[in-house]
Amino acid sequence: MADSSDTGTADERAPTPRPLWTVVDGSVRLLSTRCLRCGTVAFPPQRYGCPSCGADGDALVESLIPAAGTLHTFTTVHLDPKHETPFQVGEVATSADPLVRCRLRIDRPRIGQQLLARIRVGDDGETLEFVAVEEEADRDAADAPEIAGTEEAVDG
Amino acid sequence: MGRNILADREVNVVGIGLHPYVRQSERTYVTMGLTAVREALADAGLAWSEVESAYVGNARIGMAAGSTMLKYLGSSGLAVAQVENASASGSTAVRQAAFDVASGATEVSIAIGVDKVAPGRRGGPVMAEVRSLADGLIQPFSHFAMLTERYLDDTGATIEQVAGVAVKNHRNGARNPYAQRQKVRTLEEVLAPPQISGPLTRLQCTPVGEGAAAVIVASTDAIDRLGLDRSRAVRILSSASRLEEFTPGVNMDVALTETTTRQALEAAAVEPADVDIIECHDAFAIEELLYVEAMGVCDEGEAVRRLENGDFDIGGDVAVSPSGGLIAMGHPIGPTGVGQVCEITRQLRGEATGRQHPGARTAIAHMVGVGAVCVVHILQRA
Ligand SMILES: [Zn+2]
Repeated sequence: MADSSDTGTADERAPTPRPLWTVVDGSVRLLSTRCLRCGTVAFPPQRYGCPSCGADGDALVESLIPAAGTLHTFTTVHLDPKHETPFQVGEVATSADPLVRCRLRIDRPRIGQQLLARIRVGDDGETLEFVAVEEEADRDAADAPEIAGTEEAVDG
Repeated sequence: MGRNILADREVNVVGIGLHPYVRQSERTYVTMGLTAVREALADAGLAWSEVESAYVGNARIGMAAGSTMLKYLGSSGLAVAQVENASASGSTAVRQAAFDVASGATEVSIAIGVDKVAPGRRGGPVMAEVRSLADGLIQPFSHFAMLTERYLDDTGATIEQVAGVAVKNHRNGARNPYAQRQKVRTLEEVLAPPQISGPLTRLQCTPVGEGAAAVIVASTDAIDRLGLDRSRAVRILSSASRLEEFTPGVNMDVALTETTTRQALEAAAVEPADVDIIECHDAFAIEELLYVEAMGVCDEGEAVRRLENGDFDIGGDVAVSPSGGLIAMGHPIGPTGVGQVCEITRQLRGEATGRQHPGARTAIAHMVGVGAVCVVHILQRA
């Protein structure tokens, strides 16, 4: 499997998880790690070492990348004893390089379509999900919902 | 890359044994493991006391499971180690046993895989400070459902065509008495609910059960000295094992199988076109299509057409997963990679009654595990 970040096992001694996104001037940015030695941008962010060249320490800097991109692939999950099903997950190809694995909320997912991130406030706090730009625009016209990175969405 | 030590000194599979792959059962792992080992010893015509080292592949039954089990075969003082490499644990046990013989450290060694249905405990960054936006939401079946969606979009293939892999492998498994699933399935049955993730239905996914497998390897000297049957011996020509490389922009699962298989084939001086049998890590139907292309046994974008043409059937150009593969034979984790070598040995000996691929001479055993790791062996009839 290309990515080992897909298991739910939590260690009881786990350190406080790093934040994965932030809001700058009203828009959501993903927090990633950029390697000053080879230029690799990695998401999710981490300080262990560059997955491409192995550089560590000061060679790794925090880097903000747009929380937007195109849909690389997706699936609707029907089997998951720990979460309410069905739900959508996918991979988003960001302009800054990394493929970002994330939750999706799209009516008609289509590979290649433009996506942007939206903060959803639920019972268990804030989560980030990606929505289709075109569907969001339709919805926007209908009843002006919470949109990615607007101040209301963050404060809400 | 170092030299191929399996070319320095011949390593032969001389004995194979299995405990059938089954759903979770009351049987202990000890019972299943000993069944496989005793069957392998009987198959080889060998006494346990001749086995000098044992590698026990498992991922779910805990520390020292291997050594405590082996005590019940009688005192011999052999060297023992447990091997964990996720789904490739058994393949890695085979590699270590083969390397012991190739290096001259031993004359006879055994690779064993044994596991029970149990929750494995995973390590690594997932337990520490690296989180993703989809923590706990993307199980392996969803990872491969996403690869399926992408494949359908890239190639224009249909899910019916992808599911053809499962139809073939269920058909093969129906002829394998060790398989967890021994039922012929129609395309309609394979595509029927329950839907697991995206286009993946239950019968396109491997059943993860339990069982055991054992493979005894020996030097050619040992075959002669111990009076074993040389005509039933199968050579392990090469072994390759790799951790995936960080290559954004390409399908890393495909790239890993491609580089690992190429390394193994080159070391064995075998061309992809020479391969008669592939036991492939087909935990999900899409994987077989991606991997046969990555292995170079079929051109890119051709896998679906070749599958539909029957080229991957028993009796076709290259029989892919004649055991039924992970989809039908099953995937008890520790045993799986060892079981692949059992099937290949049976096929190359011409002893796979009811599912024999005619004229089988050269084979690939291919496993992938979380990490991701890939382990490939090339085997050939002597
Ligand atoms: Zn780097």
